[in-house]
Amino acid sequence: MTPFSTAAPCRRSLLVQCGVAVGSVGLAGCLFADDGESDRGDPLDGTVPSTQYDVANTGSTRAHGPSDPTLRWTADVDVQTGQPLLVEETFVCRSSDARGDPLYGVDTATGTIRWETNDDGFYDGTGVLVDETLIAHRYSPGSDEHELVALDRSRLQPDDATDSTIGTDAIQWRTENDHRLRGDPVSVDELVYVATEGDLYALDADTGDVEWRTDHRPSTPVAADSTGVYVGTLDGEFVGVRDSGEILFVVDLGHEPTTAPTVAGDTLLIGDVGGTLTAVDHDGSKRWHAEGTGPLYGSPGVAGGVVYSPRFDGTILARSLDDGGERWRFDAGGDHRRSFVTDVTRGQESLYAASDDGQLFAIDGGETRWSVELGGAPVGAPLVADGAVAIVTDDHELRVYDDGDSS
Amino acid sequence: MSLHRRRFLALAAVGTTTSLAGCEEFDPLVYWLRFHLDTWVGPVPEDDGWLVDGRVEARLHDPDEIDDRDDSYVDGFSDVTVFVVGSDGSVLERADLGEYTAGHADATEEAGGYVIEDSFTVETADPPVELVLDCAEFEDLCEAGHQVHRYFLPDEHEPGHAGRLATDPWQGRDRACDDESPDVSP
Repeated sequence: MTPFSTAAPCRRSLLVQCGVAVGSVGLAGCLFADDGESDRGDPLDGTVPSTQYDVANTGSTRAHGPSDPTLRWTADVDVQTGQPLLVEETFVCRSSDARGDPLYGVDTATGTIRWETNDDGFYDGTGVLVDETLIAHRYSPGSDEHELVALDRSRLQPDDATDSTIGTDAIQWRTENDHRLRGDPVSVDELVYVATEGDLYALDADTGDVEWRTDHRPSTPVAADSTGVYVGTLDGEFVGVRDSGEILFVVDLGHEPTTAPTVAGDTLLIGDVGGTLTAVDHDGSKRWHAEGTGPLYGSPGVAGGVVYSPRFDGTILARSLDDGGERWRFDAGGDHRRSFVTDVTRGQESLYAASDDGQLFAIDGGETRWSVELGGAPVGAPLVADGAVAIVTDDHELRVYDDGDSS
Repeated sequence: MSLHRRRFLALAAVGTTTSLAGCEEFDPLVYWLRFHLDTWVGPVPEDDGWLVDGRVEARLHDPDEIDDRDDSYVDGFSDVTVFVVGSDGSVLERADLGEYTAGHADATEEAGGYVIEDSFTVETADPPVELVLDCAEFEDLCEAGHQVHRYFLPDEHEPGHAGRLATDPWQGRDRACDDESPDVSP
């Protein structure tokens, strides 16, 4: 045990983790395992370019998850990974490292590293994929020096098979003198929208040049669409800004917003610390709101006119997107710690959500389809792709479940 | 409550100590009294109250096992208290946890010393914005470079945030040496 620290925990003993993995899936799945290539499973198809799948934060995918989840492999990643990205059969994750916190490309088939950044930077979150560029947040520990960096994806493949590190030459542009980010940025039509602790701004995805900036103080990550960008603020407001920088609306919520906004067609959704989920139009007029116990932290998933809202009280409510009317209610049971505080994912056949006491649920129509014990609390939403579900937990594990040999 | 023998090496013990040539270099232990990050704060369902369901950790030594580090160790904490503070700065509730000595420990750690884990629950009418650990030896501990913990919501966030202390926006700090215990006077 090390002296207490509020910073990201250090990397744990990999040998210990490998030892744990032996009992369930064998060494092949353990990151840094020294037995080289693994033949377990096929790589996962699909692309998840940003947190919650898209710029609108719908948390919705046409992909299927497993029917009979079996742990395929685990890998050591940092908790600030949140929900990983998925591109070209690789999960983009963050990992603690003695010389920095690099970004990793983790092979979806084996859990081994395909590439890692090697630029002495500490990364927060995983960023957003914009065409051939990965835009991520980097900072210097113990300082207020934060920046966005654009990494050329084509350079995120090591030339030398024996050296998987990526040098600074992968960096296309970088910002300076930034604040700490509120979640990962999103990108629409060559603009990148960024919420920090101090402001909201848009920059050119190709050059990194700032297009506009507002002095709102975000309390949430952003969501966007072709009209503009949306964010909650520490002043208890829900703010919409056109892509040109003109204010669309400012809605007083009465409480500090705590969930990333969700864009569902004409409807914008946001949850607050008072437990209220509010739906507004693009002009800011309120459509409906739903109150509840405890703060809302997890953004709702939206699909087929239904809003799936995870709640602190251990329930998930399915509501009509039109009027907020309740469709069904899922109660996870358990004690007061069985709470939903991360985003949910709506897959093709089920809703996927993980409770803070470390249970991963697949839910159909308000009933449990299956559940598995994760061994740690989730730090981001489940990622569903190609018959598998992946999730990062606070014990520094990226876990991937699929249907095992039956798949 | 009796105070256990508790001696500190002068402040030189804090930080890496390099001894004479030919002798081994070692990092002196930092003793602590801290919250476990799993400590939970949340509203009570179907109720207007709030619950703090927490754990406290302490690191100390058994004086009978101290040989070559005389005068450089902590062998107990007494009057250990958790203060739950509201948005107006007043103490909403407190949990008195008593004393911790090696005799209370059920584990040792690789770096040396005993680790004690204790748990507590506190219910409050209003949402907490700060949890403060305190003990009778706080001032001496702090001045010797050891760590006593507080967790709080940064000012910009309004009360009502809940969840494990490990998650945003809760932030942890070592208490400063001039940090007085929360005022519990009526």
